[in-house]
Amino acid sequence: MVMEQKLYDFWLCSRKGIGLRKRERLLRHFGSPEEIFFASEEQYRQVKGINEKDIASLSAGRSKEAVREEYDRLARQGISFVSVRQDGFPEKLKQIADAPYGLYYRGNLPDEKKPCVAVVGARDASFEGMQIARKFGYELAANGIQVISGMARGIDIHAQRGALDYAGGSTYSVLGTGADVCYPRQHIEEYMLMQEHGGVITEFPPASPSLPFQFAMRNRIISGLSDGVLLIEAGEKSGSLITAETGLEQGREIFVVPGGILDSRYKGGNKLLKQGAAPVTCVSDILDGLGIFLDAPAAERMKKSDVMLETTEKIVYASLGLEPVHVSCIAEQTGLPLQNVMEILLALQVRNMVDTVGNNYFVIRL
Amino acid sequence: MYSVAFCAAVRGIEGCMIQVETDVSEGLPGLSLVGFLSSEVKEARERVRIALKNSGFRILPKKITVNLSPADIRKGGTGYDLAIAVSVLASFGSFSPKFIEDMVFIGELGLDGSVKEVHGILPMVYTAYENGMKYCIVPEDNRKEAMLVKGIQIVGVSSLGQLTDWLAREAFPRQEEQGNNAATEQENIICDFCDVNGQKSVRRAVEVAVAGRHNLLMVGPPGSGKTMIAKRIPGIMPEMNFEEQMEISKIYSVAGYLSRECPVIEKRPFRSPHHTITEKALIGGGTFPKPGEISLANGGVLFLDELGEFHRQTIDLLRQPLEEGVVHISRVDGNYSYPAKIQLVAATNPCPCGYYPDRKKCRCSSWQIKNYLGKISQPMLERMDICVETQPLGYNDLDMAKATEQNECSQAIRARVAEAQQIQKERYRKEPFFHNSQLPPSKIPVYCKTSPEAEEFAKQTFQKLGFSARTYHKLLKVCRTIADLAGAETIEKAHIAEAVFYRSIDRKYWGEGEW
Repeated sequence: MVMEQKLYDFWLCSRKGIGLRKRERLLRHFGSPEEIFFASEEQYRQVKGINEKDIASLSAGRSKEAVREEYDRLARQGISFVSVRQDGFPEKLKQIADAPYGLYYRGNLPDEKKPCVAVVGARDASFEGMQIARKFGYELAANGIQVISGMARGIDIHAQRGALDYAGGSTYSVLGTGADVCYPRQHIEEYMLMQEHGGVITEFPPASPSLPFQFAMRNRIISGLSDGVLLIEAGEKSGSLITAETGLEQGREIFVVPGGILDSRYKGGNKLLKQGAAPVTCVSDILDGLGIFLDAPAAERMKKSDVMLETTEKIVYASLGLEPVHVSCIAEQTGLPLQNVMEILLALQVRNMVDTVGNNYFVIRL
Repeated sequence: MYSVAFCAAVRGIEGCMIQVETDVSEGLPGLSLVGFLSSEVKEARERVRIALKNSGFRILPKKITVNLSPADIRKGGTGYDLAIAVSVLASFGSFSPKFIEDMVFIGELGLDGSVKEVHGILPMVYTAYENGMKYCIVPEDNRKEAMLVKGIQIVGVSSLGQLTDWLAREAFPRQEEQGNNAATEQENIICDFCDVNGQKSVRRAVEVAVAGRHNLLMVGPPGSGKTMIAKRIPGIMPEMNFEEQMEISKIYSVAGYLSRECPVIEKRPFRSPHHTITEKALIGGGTFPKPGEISLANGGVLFLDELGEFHRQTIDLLRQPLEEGVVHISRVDGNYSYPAKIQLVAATNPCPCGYYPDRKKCRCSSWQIKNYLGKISQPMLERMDICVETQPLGYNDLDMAKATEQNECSQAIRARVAEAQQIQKERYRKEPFFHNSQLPPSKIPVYCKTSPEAEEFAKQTFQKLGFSARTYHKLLKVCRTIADLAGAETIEKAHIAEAVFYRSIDRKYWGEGEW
């Protein structure tokens, strides 16, 4: 009863209750997944830290047919599996401490030939922060950089949306759940889109629910897959600081968008800046930091198209900022009739110059 | 001996004639009442017996049987007492049956023989008139209300003795004609739009909503004037005509809310039920069906403040009446229907603290914000044609004296609304509906014609904002109203742009801080 290598790896990775630490212990004791697979229950008992529950989970369904069946089911769900012993496992990830033994993914794994940048930050970010995230996501993608993040609310999803906005951009999410779980649920649209333009990656077996510690764990993979970590809006106790920390341990470049010293949303980021992280105000700062040089066509793409605006449109556009303003306030500020302002704003929105927040609150689009 | 007197009952808000038959025959002495009676009508036996005694009549010890016909209608209320007493007396020959054959007697009796007021006089008297009755005898306290019906002689009585006197003499005294002059002196709480400072976009949205009878939802922080504006909405609706006044007065009469001094509702009602209201109180119902708040607001405004706080089931019950303009209540003994043609106005805070999306003040988590609006059911949210945000007022807006001069008063707005409604009335004269909001999807292409330029613009916005077919139809209906207000034949680009701003909150994006 000999199976392909990946099936042994898959079997080991998908055992319930056998996490990172226990897997390591088993591997250290037995040497390889094959040996673990063929070991007797008695032999399991000799491994320190393996309890009866784990043994039951290891023993259940330990047949070639069962594993094959399980693996086929995975394929039917459109989930791919790759282990550290196989080709295609990200090289960058092999080098990090506590590297995952296997990865489940939908879509693709990051292209190893292209640079990757992780963009992380607060969930409850300000409108401004989210605008910045989207802008950076877009511009990174425009420069052929793959955006890695965690698909969380706020900064994460906006950076990824920015990357998806750029035609040909790709972005990858490292999930804290199974690859078939969309968490948070409302990001289903991006979750689906990402599988075509990038992928969703996780070390947790399919159908794993969202448990808090898993989100902290996946942060090491986010930074591990990347060449640099960009931090936008991280408070003092932000989870994004974990990503920055693991990135630092893994020797990744840390980039931080600086903010006001009194703004609590920037406290964590500013602290990193003091410790020597690279301040970033535009995407070329990141490119310089990573040693990537702008090629001319990319520079061209980044230049904002000079759309001709009519006088009244200019007036309306000028009254907008990064904080959302209600349409009636705009009318008041500009002194234009309400109906006029509405028409202009809608026209600007159709041309992607402005965005709405909530319903009728407007911000300019960076 | 056998005799008949007429009375009237109320079913829904319509009256129906009731025949009170009495037979006196030999047998065990007693008074028995039959005819599908509720307990308060059964008790009439005691009231009538004692009232007769105390009015100086001696009832001979005979077997008296009273039947209220038609016997298959359940009879509730206390308005039958007077007719029963008259019928009993007539069967003893106290007065000529011929004389009372075209009279209707309505009133409750006290033990001392006094006649007390009852609810629902207006529909009952109206029925009497329709059935060709010549006289309607009503409690003195209800006389004013009864006199709203023209073409029938109204006689007010205050005691049984007085009535029997008149009946015996076969002549009624002349009672002073009481006009409705008092009614015009109705309590006039001045609620005018000139008190509302700032809120230009809301003013405009309200005008559009009322002009096309679109349901309106106001979203805004506390203290931004949502309730204040809602209270002023009846004032910008066109004045009620006589039929409308009668209809709403009938509802109030049945509900017992008409005041003695001014028994006619001349102003459009404004009802603002508290959010703890039960289903029956809102829609109407009960063992003996009574109109609910939605019917009491008929022809006027039903204002639901803090829409999110209402029980979901309660609010969802509004859906069908909103579409049909009538509430149907089914009971074992028949179906009742109450009119419910309302202008629905709702208000809600955007989030638990009320300040979203002003993130300087609002510290609610996006989960909280999402959930707050999540309490409003999606079907209800989709029925809100117009959604508008109220803005917190700045200091400059608070300068009362200056602002009041500039603010447009209700009268000017009402004139424009009336004009737009007139246009709709003419346009839909061959249709079974009256307002733009009632346009069925099949008729939208017929009545909502857009100019080529507007068509292109609509296409762009449709794609950009990702509308559903339902949203788009709603949008076109609102466009139609805006065009009507502007007196335009076809829908132009500017009308579409404005309507887009009134579309209802897309919950997916609410609270996300997304765009």
